[in-house]
Amino acid sequence: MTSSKSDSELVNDFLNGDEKAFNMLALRYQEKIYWHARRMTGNHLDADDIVQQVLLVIYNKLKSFNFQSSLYTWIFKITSTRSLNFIKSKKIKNIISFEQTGELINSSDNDIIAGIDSRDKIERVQSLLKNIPTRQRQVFVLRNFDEMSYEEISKITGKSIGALKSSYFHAFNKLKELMKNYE
Amino acid sequence: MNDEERIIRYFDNDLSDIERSTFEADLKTNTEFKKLFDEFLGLNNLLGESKKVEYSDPNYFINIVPRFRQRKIKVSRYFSIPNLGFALTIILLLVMSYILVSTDLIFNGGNQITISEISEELADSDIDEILRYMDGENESYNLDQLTINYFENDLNELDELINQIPETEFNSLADAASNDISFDISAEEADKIFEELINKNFRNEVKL
Repeated sequence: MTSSKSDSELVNDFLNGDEKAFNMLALRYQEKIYWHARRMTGNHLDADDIVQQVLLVIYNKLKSFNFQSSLYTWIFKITSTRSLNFIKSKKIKNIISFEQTGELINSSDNDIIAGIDSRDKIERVQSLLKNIPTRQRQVFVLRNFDEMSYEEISKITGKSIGALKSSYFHAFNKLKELMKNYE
Repeated sequence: MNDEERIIRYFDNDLSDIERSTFEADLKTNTEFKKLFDEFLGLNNLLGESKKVEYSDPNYFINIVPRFRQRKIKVSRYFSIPNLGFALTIILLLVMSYILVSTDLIFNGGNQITISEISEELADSDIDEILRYMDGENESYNLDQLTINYFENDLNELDELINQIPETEFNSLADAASNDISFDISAEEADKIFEELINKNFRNEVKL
C-alpha cells in the first residue's frame, strides 16, 4: 500500500478529512522513525514505543504544519526530540529509583532483526552509540544513518553547522576509540 | 587539520578536490596515517553493514499503523484535563518530596517506605506523561490513572506518613500549592520547580 502522491498532497488530503492519507504518510516514514529511535535508545521496545508516540504527535499537530520546512525534516525533528525526551525520562527514573533500570532488558526479546550475524552487528553498533554523549549521538545518527545534510540537522537541532561538524567529529573519533577497546 | 579530522571529513565527503588528492597520496606513502585510516575504515564498514537489515517479523511495520489506530481510540476514551492534571501532578510531587525529605523516615528500616518504593508506584507511563506534558507535547493526560495507581496501592501507608506532618505545615504547604502553583504558574516557573525536584539529590539527605 504505497502512494505516488507527494507529502504536501497527502497532508492536504488528511487535513480535508481523509484518514487514509495519514496512513500513507505513516507508512512512508515509519521505518525511518523506528531506526532513528532505535539507534538513539539502543533497543527495539523503546523504539517501538517512540514510533507510536511520534505518530500520535504527527496526527495531532499536522494541522499546524506550515510547509516552511520539508515534512521529512519536521517529522525528524519530532522523532529526535521524542527520542531525547525518552532517554531523559529513563535517566530521571534511574535517579529517582536509585537503580539502573535495565538498559537492555533483553535486547533479543521481541526483536525484529533476522539472523545472528546481522543482529550481532546491530547490537555492536548500539553498544558503541550508547557510550557517546546523547547530543553527539543525535548528531551522529542524523548525519551518518539518516543521511541528512548539516543544514537539515541545523534546522532540527537549532545548532550552527560548525558546532554540528564538531559534534560529528568528536562522536566519530570517540566511536573509533571505543571500537578499539571493544575488540 | 589533524589526521583524524581529515579522515572523518574524507568519509563525510567534506574534503575539497585538492585535500582529497593529498589525502589519497598520504595513504600510499605514510604508514602511520594508513594505520589510523584502517581503524576508521573498520568502524565505517561496521556502521555500513549495520544499515543492511532483514526482518524476522515481516508484519512488524505493516502493523504499526493499525496499532496506532487502536491506541488512539483508547486514548480518546479517557477524559483529558491537561492543565488540571499537570497542576495536581506538581502538587502531588511537592507533597511527596516534602514528606520524604522532612519526616526523616527514609531508609531507616522497619516498615517505613523508601523513595525507591514510592517511585515504583509511579508507572513508566506516568513519568513519561509528566515529561511529555512538560515539553508541551502531551495530547491528553489521564490524571485518574495516576492517582489510582498510586493511592490504591498504598493508601494506608501514605495516610500514615501524611499524619506525621504537623498540621500547620501541611496546611501551609497545601495552601501554597493550591493558591500559588496550581493555576497561575507560568511554564517557566513550572519548569524550574520540576527541575529542582528532579535534580534534588536525595542521597545527600539520607543517611544510608
